[in-house]
Amino acid sequence: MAQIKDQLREYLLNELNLPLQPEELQDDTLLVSDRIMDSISSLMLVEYLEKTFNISFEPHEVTAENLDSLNIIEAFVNQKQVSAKAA
Amino acid sequence: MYSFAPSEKQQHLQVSLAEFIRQELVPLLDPDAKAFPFEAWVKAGEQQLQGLAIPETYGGCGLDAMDVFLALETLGYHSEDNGFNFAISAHLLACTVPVWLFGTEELKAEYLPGLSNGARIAANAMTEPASGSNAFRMQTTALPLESGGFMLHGNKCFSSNAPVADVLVAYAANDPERAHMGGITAFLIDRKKHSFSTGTPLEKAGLHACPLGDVFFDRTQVEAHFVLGKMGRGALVFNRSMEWERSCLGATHIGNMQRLLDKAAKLINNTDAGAFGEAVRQEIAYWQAQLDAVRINGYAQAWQLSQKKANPRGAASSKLLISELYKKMTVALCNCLGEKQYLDGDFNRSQADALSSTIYSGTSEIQKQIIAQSIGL
Repeated sequence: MAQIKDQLREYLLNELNLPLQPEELQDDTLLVSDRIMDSISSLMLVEYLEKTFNISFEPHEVTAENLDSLNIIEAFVNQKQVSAKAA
Repeated sequence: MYSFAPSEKQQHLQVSLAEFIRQELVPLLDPDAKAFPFEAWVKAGEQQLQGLAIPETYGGCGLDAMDVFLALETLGYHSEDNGFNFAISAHLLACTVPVWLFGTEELKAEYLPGLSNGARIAANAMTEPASGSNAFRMQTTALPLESGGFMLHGNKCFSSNAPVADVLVAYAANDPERAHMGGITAFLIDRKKHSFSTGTPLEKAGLHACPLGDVFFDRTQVEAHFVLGKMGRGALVFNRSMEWERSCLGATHIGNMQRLLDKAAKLINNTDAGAFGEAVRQEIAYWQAQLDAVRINGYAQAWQLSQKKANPRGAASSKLLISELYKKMTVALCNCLGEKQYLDGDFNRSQADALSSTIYSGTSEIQKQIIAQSIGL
């Protein structure tokens, strides 16, 4: 489980260059609500998640609510992967 | 790591491109004309200037962002027609690049060769009368149809190349409430396949070879495969194209500024001693020092883009510093070199051409906002 968050942490800090020190990016840090991640970065994150975890966001799923923290993103990715396997 | 010394390949690119521009392109350009230079456009296509960044498999030159910067700097130096240079750059960076990065294989195979070889002219249709710098708050809508396609309706304005464009890269709201967070979709629109109209070219201060105009969509039906990227991801498409434009378009201004400084030095040296005092020499030297600094910053950002590292702050900084210097330097050179340069020729034209550089690709205020956000402000 920690693997998804580790990959996300790496991407957010080193690719998206979010203005955070590594120790400031906690599992429950609010990325969108606290305006750490803007909408463009959010869309880049969506593209990254689709490519890295082989999932697909429906248009209505591209929301701040699904991308607001490492915990939330991980849960969303897990849920999408489970749905894909069941289908 | 980026080396500041141009490679042998880069030197060859600059030398061969300079020769082509001086010998074959410049004779077809009239910097004082107020019309789109179709003949020069086709000639530029022989060297795929409109497709510098596009892979060779799609008919382009296959250059990375660093080499695109060097090529555009060469164009900016040797072609005094800043409007033509701008038309090429806007077509390449804001239109052809997003088709390459986000188009389907089918779309790329059909459109990129013509967009690279001068057969097609493209315009970016983003800005709207009511949105301004808040570009994603647009009123042009893209209504999803049962067929899977879309119906576009609304007006765009200040679209460079639009009056002569065959192809548009256009943005419309599939869900206006969600704006950039999933509510904007990007489209490739083909004048031969989709119904839209363009206004007459607007009167403007400079960049006369690049016509600027409005675009009107009146229930324009567009098939699903003309979407760039995915539905709702248009903000990403626009942002990537702006990253390229902010990183590379200023290269033409760097070339333009160096040309003016070289001309200023010649003018001073060829004028009777005493006509230009030491103060003027020192001022020219100081502008050269500033140009060298922003050029290196521009190279660094272009190199970073060529490494495929997203760096909105770097792109914004490069664009901000080059355009602000461009505007200030062209005014200052006219001032310190006297009436003749103010009244006619390259110095005068460049001053007028530089005026809009702090507006297009996002105003200086927008660039500062991007930089501020990147440091948590």
